[in-house]
Amino acid sequence: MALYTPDELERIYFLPSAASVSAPTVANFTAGEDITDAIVSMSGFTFAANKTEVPNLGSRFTPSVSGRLTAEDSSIEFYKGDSATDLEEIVRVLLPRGADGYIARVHPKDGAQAAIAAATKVEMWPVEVMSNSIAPPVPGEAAKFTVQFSIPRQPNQSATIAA
Amino acid sequence: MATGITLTHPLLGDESVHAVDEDHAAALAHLGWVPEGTKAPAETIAEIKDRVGDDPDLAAQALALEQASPNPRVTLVEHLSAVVNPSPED
Repeated sequence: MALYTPDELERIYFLPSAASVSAPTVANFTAGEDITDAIVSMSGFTFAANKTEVPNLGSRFTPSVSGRLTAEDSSIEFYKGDSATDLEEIVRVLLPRGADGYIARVHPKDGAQAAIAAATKVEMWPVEVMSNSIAPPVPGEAAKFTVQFSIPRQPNQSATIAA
Repeated sequence: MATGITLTHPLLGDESVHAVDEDHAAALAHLGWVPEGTKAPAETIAEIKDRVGDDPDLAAQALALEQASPNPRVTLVEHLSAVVNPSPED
C-alpha cells in the first residue's frame, strides 16, 4: 500500500455507450476510446453535497442533514493534434457539442494499471458535451482544446466491469 | 440532444449511439461503430495483421471483434491471441 500520482497508472476512457452505469462490459470499452494520452487536465467529475439545516426550538444548536447531491462543473482539457489520424484529433471529433456517452475512470490496482477485465472497478460518469472549444493560440505552447460536460444522470463511483 | 445518424457496434447487440453529424459518425467508425442496418466491411487477415502489428491492445480489440463474428477466422484468432499473450520465448 502506497500513495501514488495518477501518471501512467490511471486511465480515462470515453465510452459512446454502456450496458449500464453500474456494470459496463468489456465490449463497451473495446467500442470506446482510451483518451488518457490526449489529456492535459481534468476538472470536476466530483460530487458536491448540500446540507439542509433543521433547526428546532428546543436547542440553540442548528443540526443539519444531508441535502441534495450535484455534480461539480466538469471539463477536460486536451492537447490538439494537427492530423486527422492523431489521437488528439480523433478525440476532438469524437466529442462534438451534443454528443453523449460516459467518461470512465479506471483507477490503478496494486500499484499498476488495472486491466479492462471483468470485476475491475471503475467510475462511470454519464456525460453530454456542452461545448468543445479550441483554445486561442499561445506562442510557444502546445495547441489545446477544452470540452465541457453536463452530467445528465447519476454517476456511479463504484461500477464493476462485466464480462 | 444528439440526433441524426444511428450507429451500432458488432460487439454490442442492441446498444446504439446517435452521431450528431457525419464527422462524429466518422470518429465513431474509428471505434468500430457502423450505421444501423449496415454491415461493417470485413478486413482481410493481412490488413488486420498489418494494422495491429505488435500492439497487444489493438490485438485484443481485433480479437474481440473477430470472436464476435459469425465465423471467426481460425488463423487470425491464433495470430491475435499470440500478440495478446506472447509466449515467453517471443
